[in-house]
Amino acid sequence: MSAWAGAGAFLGVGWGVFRDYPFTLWSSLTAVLVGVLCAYLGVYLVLRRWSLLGDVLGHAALPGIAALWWGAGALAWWWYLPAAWVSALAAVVVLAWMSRRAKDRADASMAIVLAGSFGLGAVLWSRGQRAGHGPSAVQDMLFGNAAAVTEAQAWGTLGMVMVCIAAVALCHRPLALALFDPSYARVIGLPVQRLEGLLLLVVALAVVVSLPMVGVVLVAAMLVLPAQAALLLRWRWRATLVASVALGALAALAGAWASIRWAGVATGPAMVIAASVLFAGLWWWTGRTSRGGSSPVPVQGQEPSHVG
Amino acid sequence: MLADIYEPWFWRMLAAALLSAWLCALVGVPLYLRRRSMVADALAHTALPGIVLAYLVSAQLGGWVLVGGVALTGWVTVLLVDRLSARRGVRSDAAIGVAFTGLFALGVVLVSTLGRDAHLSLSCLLFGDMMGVRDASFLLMGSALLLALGGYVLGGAGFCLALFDPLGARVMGLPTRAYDQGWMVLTAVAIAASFEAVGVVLVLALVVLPAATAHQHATSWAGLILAALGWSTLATLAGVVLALWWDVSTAGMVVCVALLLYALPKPWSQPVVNAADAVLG
Repeated sequence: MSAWAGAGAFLGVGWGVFRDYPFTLWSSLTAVLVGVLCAYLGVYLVLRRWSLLGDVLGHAALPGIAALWWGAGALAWWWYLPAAWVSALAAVVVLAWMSRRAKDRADASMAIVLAGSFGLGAVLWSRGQRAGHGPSAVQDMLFGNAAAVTEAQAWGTLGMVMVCIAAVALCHRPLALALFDPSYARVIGLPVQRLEGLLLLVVALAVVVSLPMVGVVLVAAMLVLPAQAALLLRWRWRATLVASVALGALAALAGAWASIRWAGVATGPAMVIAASVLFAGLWWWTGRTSRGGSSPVPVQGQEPSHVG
Repeated sequence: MLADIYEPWFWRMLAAALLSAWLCALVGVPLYLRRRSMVADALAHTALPGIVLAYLVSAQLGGWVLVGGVALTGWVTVLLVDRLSARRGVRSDAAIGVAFTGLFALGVVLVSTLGRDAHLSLSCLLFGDMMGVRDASFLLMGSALLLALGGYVLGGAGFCLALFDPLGARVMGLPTRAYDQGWMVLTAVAIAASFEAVGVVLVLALVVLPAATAHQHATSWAGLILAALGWSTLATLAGVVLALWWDVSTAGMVVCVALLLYALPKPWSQPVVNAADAVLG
């Protein structure tokens, strides 16, 4: 009953938004694309125990964006993509280098790269403000702005989302094996490190593509929330991917519409709240039907039920 | 630049920077040793809805309502992470990612809707403003600093042992759970006290970086704490001066210097042989 009421309210808001704001078509398309991409890659990330890596990559994109803004002033949105990508990849390289040093702890390294690059971003940002650059795409990159999406941006996003999904989908089988059983994958001669590197490259690109929509601070949520919600269902691998993608698209669409409909609501936080609501619903539902009840003993290792 | 040191605001800003840096460094050492750095990240992010709620209730930033709000959302975060990761198939890192992002998003929406006409600026909450630290925040930072020092003094060797060897400490009958929970409350108080100066994201750098830098070379418990305080002092002094010099964000510059100090090689460092040596000095 409440599900029908929710769906009715969702469609009602959507219809009202489309009627009042014609640009909503491109925003909605971009939102769905971003939601699908993040939710798809999120399943791999959560299973690899890299859930918090999206948080690091999102924050690490800020110095690149702020540096370009300071150096070149306000530019079109796509100028910021390579800058943000290079800066996020630099964070990945630094993290990989830190993980080789004996005395560094993995969690502390992530916190240091996350907060350190945000500090660097704050310095460059204030430098750009002193230089007198007006508000620009950079402002929207903090929390996202669906209303600023143009037609060209929607098509550009479509292209990059297809590149990302194709890159991961093409080698999904060795990648899934490397995630579930890395030692076996290494024994049969799979290049596990290179596969993980490819995943990182693609995730960094996905984070960058999502920035104009979700923002640097909350892009991590769109990677983790739909994926973990879908994993709660404990379905097979392919069904989990489909469920995650559907949840991500729904949350992104709801967030984009809410931010266009209600002034002052930023797009990224609205998407994340929608995703949290979906997660809470699935958490309650899966707990009620006792499909994944809590276990007194923590279970080590992987769940074979996900391998399709 | 040099003329600035005769101005009262310079000394006020320096005091705010040093107080927040020392407080965060003291709070950070146990968090670093217990591998709770990303929990601190979650707590720092979820402080935002607590700050906004406290502001909407009491119409002012600062005071005990603020500490209560931040402690409340911090408690909710820790509870959520525990409940989420208790279920089969939910890893603790995913639980952290789920718990803090939803609450943080709620805080951002609250700021941009209800807090918009209440002079609550999102960029100040994110990046902090060293110049805008109020008297109430000074008082709060000072009391939290005393609280942290008191924790070290009262906890003594038992507290140190619980950090390096939690299992052994529990076997000896030490209240390790009380240590952990008490320190989480102190972390929430420290975030509530210092967010005005450094913002909710950069506070994480001030918490983790001094402890991580000190851990590279310290060989005793007292040495570790003193080195963390020393590194944070150095980073703050250099950061404040450089920020004035280049006219950039003060908190951001302090974090950049701290990052540089962390990355510098420490040729005098020697590897710690084992944990018992670290405890006994």
